[in-house]
This record gives sequence, structure tokens and C-alpha cells, in this order.
Amino acid sequence: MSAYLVNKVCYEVQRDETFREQVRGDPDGTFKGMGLAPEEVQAFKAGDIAGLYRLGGHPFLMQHLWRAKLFGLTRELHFERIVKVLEV
Amino acid sequence: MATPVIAIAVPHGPDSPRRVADEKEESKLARQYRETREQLEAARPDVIIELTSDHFVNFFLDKMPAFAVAVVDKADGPHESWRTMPWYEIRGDRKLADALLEYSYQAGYDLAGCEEVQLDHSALVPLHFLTPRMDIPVVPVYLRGFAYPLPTGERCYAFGQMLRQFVENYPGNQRVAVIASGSLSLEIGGPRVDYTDEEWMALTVGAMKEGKMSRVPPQATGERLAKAGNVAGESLNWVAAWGFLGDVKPEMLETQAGNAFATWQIR
Repeated sequence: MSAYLVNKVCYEVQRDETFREQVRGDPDGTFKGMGLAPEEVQAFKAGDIAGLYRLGGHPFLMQHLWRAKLFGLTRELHFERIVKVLEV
Repeated sequence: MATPVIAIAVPHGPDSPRRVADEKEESKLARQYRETREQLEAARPDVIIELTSDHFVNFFLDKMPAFAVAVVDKADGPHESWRTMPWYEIRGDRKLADALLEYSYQAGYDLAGCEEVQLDHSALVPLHFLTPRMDIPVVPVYLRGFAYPLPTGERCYAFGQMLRQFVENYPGNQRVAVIASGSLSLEIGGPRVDYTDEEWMALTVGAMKEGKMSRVPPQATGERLAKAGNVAGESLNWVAAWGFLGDVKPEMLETQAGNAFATWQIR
């Protein structure tokens, strides 16, 4: 597991259009190639923002996911899901 | 020797340029930026040193310095695919930036030197409002504010003091302005939506009102800043500006939630 890789995905999604579309088209293949752990791959594919936060994702970087319209995410869903980390 | 003439601290909301461009009547935000610009223009700077926290645009966690200076003739941006503000190219001041890098090593501060940078909105939103013609050379100086661990408040304050000594020892007649970019308390994309740390605002704004900013740095720990918001590390740009200034009261000081506008004329 690597918070670094979770953040790297988000960083590259904003920065690199080719990578963004690779993630969109083949998330499993792209993430496996990068060495992401299965739970990280799952969290991305499910748009599980709260899960990604718990895996060490930086919320600022995670916003690049909804901006790229990845994993069914929207701005509303991002915030709907991230506030769940505050729930006991 | 170069002369410090003004220090300014402003927020850098990425949507602010569009909001202000679209409004029919001048909003409070637009007035604050306009009044700050007027003060900068009145100070007639020849060069701007801009203290900012890169938003994972120029730097990433793979290579993340605590302090860095852009040693460039020019730079452009914002290199953010989601930007709503105009694209700009700025002129750098390579000679001054080089001199700062060397001075910093002599003074015991190990800055990273970057001979190519991609600017983000944190560098360009203040410039968009304060120097829209982009005709004053800018030397971006980066402080690590987005990625933990953060440099200490004391170190950032002392860094600002070093910057002041550098300017006052820099040969030539350049009039130097310092612009600190960023918020004091802010949460972006995180769970504490629309959050302002009122205690942090009272501490920082109170210190500025009294001209006693030196009391803040020991409290600007990573832990305290994390409480103030997930990007409250931007406060460190203010802390460095306070080190540059010393304990002097601002001419202008206005706040809005976790943001503030402040100016200090330097005589």
C-alpha cells in the first residue's frame, strides 16, 4: 500500500492527458503497471473518495478525479463522500 | 543597494479572476484586489519576490523541497488543466534569483534552485490582479506548504529575515516588492467544508493588527496548521513575509473567512 502512489495517480491525471485517458480506458491495467495495491485499485474504481482519503490521498489532489470525470465522480459526489470520514 | 519598498499578502482563489471579470458591480473582493494593486503601483517596484506554495503543479512528492527559488528568465501558466483564469507569461529576474540562491547558502538556508518552473494559480492569481500587464519581473520563491511535513514556523520566519538581509545587501538600485500568496485558514476538497479556524484567524490577524507578528511563528506548527485547514500551510508564506518585515503594523488589513488582504509600506 502506498499513499504516494494514490497521490501520484491523482497528480498525473491532472498533468498528463494520455495517462488520464489510459486510466479511463483501462484502470486495472494502468494501476497494476504502477504497482497499486488491490484495495487502492478498488477504491479508485468505486470512486471511493473516503476510502482514498484513508489510504493517504490528499484531498486537493483527489479533486482532479472528478474534474477529469473519472470513476463516475462529480464535484457533488466528491464532497458527499469525503465528509463521511468525519463520521464516527 | 536594493530597497525593499512594500510587502503585500493576498489570497489566490483560482476562480477569482473569472468572478471579478463577470461582475456588474465591484465586489468587496474586487475592491480589495484593486486597492492592493494601487498600493503596489504607488510603491513603483522594479522587481517582485513572490512567496508561494506550489499546488502540486511544479513540484510533486517525488521531489519536494522545503524552500526553492525559480532561477529563470521567464515562466508561464497556470499549468492546470482545469484553469478558468487567463494564461500568462511572466518575466523572471535570473540575476537576482541566482544571487539569492548563493546568498541563501552563505546564510545557512539550503534552497533548491529551479531553472525551469511551471507556474500554478497560486503564483498567477495575485499577479493577475496586482500587476495585470505582467511587466514587472517576478522571482517566485516556493515554501513547502502543501505536503507534510512542513518546515517550522520559526524557520519560515527566519527565512523571511534572511530574504530581507539579502535584499538590503543586493547591489544596485532596484525597488523590491514582496508578495505573499495564500490563505491563513483554508480547507480545499477536504471533509471540513466551508471551514474557517476562527482561533487561528484571531491569532494571526490579531498579531498583524498589533504589529507583533513575531509571536505567531512558534505556534505555526504542522499540527496547528493542519487544524486550520488542509492547505493552511499557505500561512507559512505569510510567516515568511512577516520575517521580512519585522514587527510593523500594516497600512491595510481586511479579512474574509480564512483569507486576508494586508499591505505594509516599507520605509
